[in-house]
Amino acid sequence: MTPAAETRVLPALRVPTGLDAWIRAMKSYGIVAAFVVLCAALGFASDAFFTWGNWTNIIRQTAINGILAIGVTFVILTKGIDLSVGSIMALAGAVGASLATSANPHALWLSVASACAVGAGLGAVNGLTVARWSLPPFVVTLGMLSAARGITFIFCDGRPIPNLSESFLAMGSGDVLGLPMPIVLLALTFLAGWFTLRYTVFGRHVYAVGGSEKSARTSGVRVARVVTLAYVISGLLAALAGLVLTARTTAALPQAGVAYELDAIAAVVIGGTSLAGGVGTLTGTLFGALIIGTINNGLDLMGVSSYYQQIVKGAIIVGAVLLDASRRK
Amino acid sequence: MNTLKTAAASAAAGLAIALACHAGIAQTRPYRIAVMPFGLPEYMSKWSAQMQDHPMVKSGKVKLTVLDGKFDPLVQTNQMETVITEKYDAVIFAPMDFNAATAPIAKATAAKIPVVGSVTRADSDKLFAYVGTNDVEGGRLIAEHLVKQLGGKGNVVILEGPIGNSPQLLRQKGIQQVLAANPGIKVIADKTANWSRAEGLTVMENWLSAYGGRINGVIAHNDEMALGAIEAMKAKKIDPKTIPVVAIDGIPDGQRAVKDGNLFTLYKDASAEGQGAMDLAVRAVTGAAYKPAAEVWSNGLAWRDGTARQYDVPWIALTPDNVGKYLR
Repeated sequence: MTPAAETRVLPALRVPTGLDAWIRAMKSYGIVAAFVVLCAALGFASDAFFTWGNWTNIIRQTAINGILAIGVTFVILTKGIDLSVGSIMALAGAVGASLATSANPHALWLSVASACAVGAGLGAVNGLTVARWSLPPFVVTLGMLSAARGITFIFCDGRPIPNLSESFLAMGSGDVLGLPMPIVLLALTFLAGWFTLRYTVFGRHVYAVGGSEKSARTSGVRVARVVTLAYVISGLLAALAGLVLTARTTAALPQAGVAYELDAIAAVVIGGTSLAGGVGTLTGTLFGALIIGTINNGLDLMGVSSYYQQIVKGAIIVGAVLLDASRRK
Repeated sequence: MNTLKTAAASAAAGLAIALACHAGIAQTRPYRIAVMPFGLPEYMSKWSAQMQDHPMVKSGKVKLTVLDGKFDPLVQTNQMETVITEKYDAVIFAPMDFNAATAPIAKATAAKIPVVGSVTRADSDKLFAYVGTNDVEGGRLIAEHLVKQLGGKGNVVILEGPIGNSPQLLRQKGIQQVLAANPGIKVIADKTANWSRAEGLTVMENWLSAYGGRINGVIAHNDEMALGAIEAMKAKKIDPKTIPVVAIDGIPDGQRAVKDGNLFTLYKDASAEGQGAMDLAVRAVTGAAYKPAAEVWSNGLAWRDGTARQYDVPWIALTPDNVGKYLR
């Protein structure tokens, strides 16, 4: 009854006793160790690295990619992939912004709700196409990447949508109890996602479908429903990320979010989620996103050219996948 | 064990990077100026390189950090926050998007960091100064040249820059002013080719197929797109001299096209914009006593004690006669 995949899920947090247990813990939490080491190295290279201000910057700057990556994790766990999140971000952000300009003001909840509806709706299209017609997720979401981008340009008439209301912009620049809004939204998204994956039936089914779709189906899991819902979550979180992005840049830009799906997938992969499905955690994704954000910030602080930054990022992604591949042997 | 190996490797890499950076620290405290180009295409690379050649930078009195915006307004917003946290002395900012630039500039000036604008404009009145070519004027000059070449009558196509990027907005404004005053010229197609030669080529190819011989002239917002259009014509065995092309930038390939008689373009002086901006940034930090060092101040642009809000770097029209002076 219990799908085999569940045993590969991250073990519950326990204090390791004995060397074996420590090694196992390092393997599971290696990503955290790598992150700590990276921070130590960057802290040595730049005095400004370990300041409260800089850390607020890093986490705030990671928030958008983090929210995206959390959504994409759900999809990758089902052995799928979502290449369309960057385009969905742009479209949702534009739709939300269009209802929050000074010329066309509406209540904030309406902007946010319509953006989320767009995201969830496009996610549902992705999910239904993958689940009901068994088309490869890569191809389906690639098509959506293109189509959604086109719709965004048409919707915006090729132009930016500026002059957004104060309440809308607060999603990017406001704060809650001293913490910047993007960080708060990232935290809430992470908690909701983590709870869903660990403590709900749906969460277990996501792992089951990714581990072995056949076993899941024979165990009575409604695979099509689970897969569709995973893509809906991905689209919904892309919409949320799109709203934060639009608020941060203070204008909806039709070319926003281009190639953002790559950083999101990179965060998921670096975080230890397997592209083969069934294995991975949101904690890993979060640290994957933080590693990317930290590299961007740290290397910028050190004045390293962006061309070298891209090489470093590429090396880390490949390194993470190699590590994952060797771990499963 | 694999994880420990990875951790050790990243520590080693990190320490290597750190040691390399600590190797060249100056003893006295230089001024720290952040340079934020919207991206690093050829012109912007030249612009930053010219700043590295500025006497204040070469002598070590100014320490430059170039933050590549990667064509993304969000990246620039993030970088400006880093600049503020890092307490840089001044910023030279070339924003990707006219509207998205307002908030970062406001935050920087609120943190008492002067911002000098250059190359691309921002929707902000908080800049210490703006030094750059006047893009509206540039659009006007090239459109007027084409109108004269066509004798006031004919069909033209327009290749625009990325929509929302300030040179696109302003050059198009100048172009439209001239076209409105010349009703004999009709615009039969108008599309963005995003500053790219490859896109310009594709768009022009499609137009040549769609409109055939009806195209009499091409206005391109920059040289790269114009060069793409010229390639499209050559590919269809059309002599580029029969369809005049006008553009802006004066990049080396553009200069070669001018020499061949295929293009009219305006030279955009990266040295004037880059080093001029550097002078203004240092003036903002050090005060009125500063004597500017860039060549352009003695060659067409008035310093005005560094207090003017806008400095229009003059355009230089490139024709087959004078291009030899600039061709390297």
